[in-house]
Amino acid sequence: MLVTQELTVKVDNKIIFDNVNLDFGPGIHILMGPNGVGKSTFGHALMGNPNYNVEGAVELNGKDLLAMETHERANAGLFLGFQTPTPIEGLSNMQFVKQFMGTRQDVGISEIQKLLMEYKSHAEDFKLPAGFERKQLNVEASGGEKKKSEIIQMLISNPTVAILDEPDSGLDIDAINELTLKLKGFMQSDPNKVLIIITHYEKLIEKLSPDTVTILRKDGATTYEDITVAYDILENGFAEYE
Amino acid sequence: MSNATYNLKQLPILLKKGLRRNISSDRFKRGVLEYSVNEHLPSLDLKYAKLPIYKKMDVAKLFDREIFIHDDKPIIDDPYPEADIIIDEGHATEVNMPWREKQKVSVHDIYSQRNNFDKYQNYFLPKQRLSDLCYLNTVNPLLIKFSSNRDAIRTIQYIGTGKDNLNCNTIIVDVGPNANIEIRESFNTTNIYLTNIHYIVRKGAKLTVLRDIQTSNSSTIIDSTVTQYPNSDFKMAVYGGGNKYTQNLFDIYSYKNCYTSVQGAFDLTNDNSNNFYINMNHLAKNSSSDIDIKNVVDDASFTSFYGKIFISKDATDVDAQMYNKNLQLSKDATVITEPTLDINNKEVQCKHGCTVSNLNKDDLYYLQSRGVNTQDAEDILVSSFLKNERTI
Repeated sequence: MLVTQELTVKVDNKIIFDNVNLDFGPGIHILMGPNGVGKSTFGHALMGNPNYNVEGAVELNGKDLLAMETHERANAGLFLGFQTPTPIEGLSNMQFVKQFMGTRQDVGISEIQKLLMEYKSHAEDFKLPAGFERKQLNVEASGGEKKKSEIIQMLISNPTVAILDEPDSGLDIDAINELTLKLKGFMQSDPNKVLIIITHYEKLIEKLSPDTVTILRKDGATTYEDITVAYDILENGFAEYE
Repeated sequence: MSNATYNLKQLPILLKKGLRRNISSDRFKRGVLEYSVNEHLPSLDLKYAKLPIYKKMDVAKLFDREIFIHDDKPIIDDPYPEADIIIDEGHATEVNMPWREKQKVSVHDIYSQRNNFDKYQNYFLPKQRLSDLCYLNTVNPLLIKFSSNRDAIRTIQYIGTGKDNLNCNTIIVDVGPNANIEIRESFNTTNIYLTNIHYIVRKGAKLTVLRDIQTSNSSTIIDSTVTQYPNSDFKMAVYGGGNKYTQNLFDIYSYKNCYTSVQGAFDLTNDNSNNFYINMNHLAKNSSSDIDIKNVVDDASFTSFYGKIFISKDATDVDAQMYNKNLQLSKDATVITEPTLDINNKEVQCKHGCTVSNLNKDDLYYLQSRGVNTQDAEDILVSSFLKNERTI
């Protein structure tokens, strides 16, 4: 469960959006909005990006999210798939997974070994090149490879609430199909999972059959249970919903 | 003498008065290396602390350090258990080397029959720096000779148990034609440790050196000269946590169709000081070099880098690059970097650069967003920075 109350996000005292009240329960939710409205900012603000000044209240599974440090939010079950994943030279994909899973107290050495095998298996499903796990994290990787890497990280870290920022960008149709399968599998693994996807890609929305569509505005947000709203926006634009 | 102390600036006086046994004070040695020793003797009058090469190397810390003369052997806590050769103040001990392996490498000292030291004299002409003093203070130069066409891996540990806390080594490493050799050097040094090493990489040979300078309270100066014959490869990876004071100096001379790689990674804390000097000389055509030195400086540590690529008039089709990257984690730490190029023909590709930066906040946030706490994330980023993905 992810609940925001009167959420306001500022950068250098400039308001990006304010008064956002949302309640994301179990299920798949599409987050849409015009360019520049702050969709990516929404994800980073919840994750604890230090560039943003956040006001209001946010609850993650009943806990005060804003009182936590960034790493505590992740360990409390929040995951953010970045729109532009950060490249880190000298750190391989596998080492990264090993590092962040190793920081969790409930994961022992044998469990980490198992997770590393899981990484290779996901990489194979996504048709990533052999030895991808040894490549440097988001360095010299294509846009699609970076997105696949983000999804694998999400699947391995197994959060309760995941926000994915344009997970479809850079993916070909085969990869979109695989992404859909992976995300559905993720949702089926636990009925309490919450998946928030920032996207304007009709095919992905169709394939995922989301539960709600949320439109983010500068002065708030509205959630619709009628999914046809998403298709209407994709055909006619946001004007009617602003 | 047992309670006496001196420092490096005073060392020439001790040498002149014959108060310290050295290469010029032994008649036998003078007979073998007379020419090069005589060439070095004027070096005794050099004002070391004022030499241009040391201008940016924080040398006060080095030259004012006291050298104790005492009879007790310092204890080395953890001698390298897998060493094939242990070198201590000009003495080489060979251990763990089966007979078959000894065929590939032979160690000669000044007393060995047919050591042929006289043939190596030209490799040890004065450099107008501290290495000259090291040469003159050497009690026993060593020759480590690898046979031609052999493959071998050798582990050499340099230790310091000398009685007067000044350890001077002069080493010749001669790799025979078409040999493929890997040397794993470990420096476990005490007080003041001066070492001259001349690597001779013969035609078609490949030499890889992995140099580990173990963190200690010592002042360690390693002056390396590399002569690469045509079609040879020389690869060096040097890494360490930085001693109280360290100098790594390289003069490399490469000829036709040679490849040279020098990678360095130093993680400095406290008031440790690391100084890196490299003079890469391309003297014939179609050679390439890749120099990449990385430092992390924290607390009040100090690092200096001076790198020069020289490409001669005749050395066409050379591809050379040199980078010095520094991660400065503390405002009290000091970074000095100066890469330079001296190119004397137009048919070359040459790149150089240096950076000084702090930890990237976006990188830190990305790691934290996956559940890694701030301290661990910083450690991961430091270790990733130092890691070199270009395999050696």
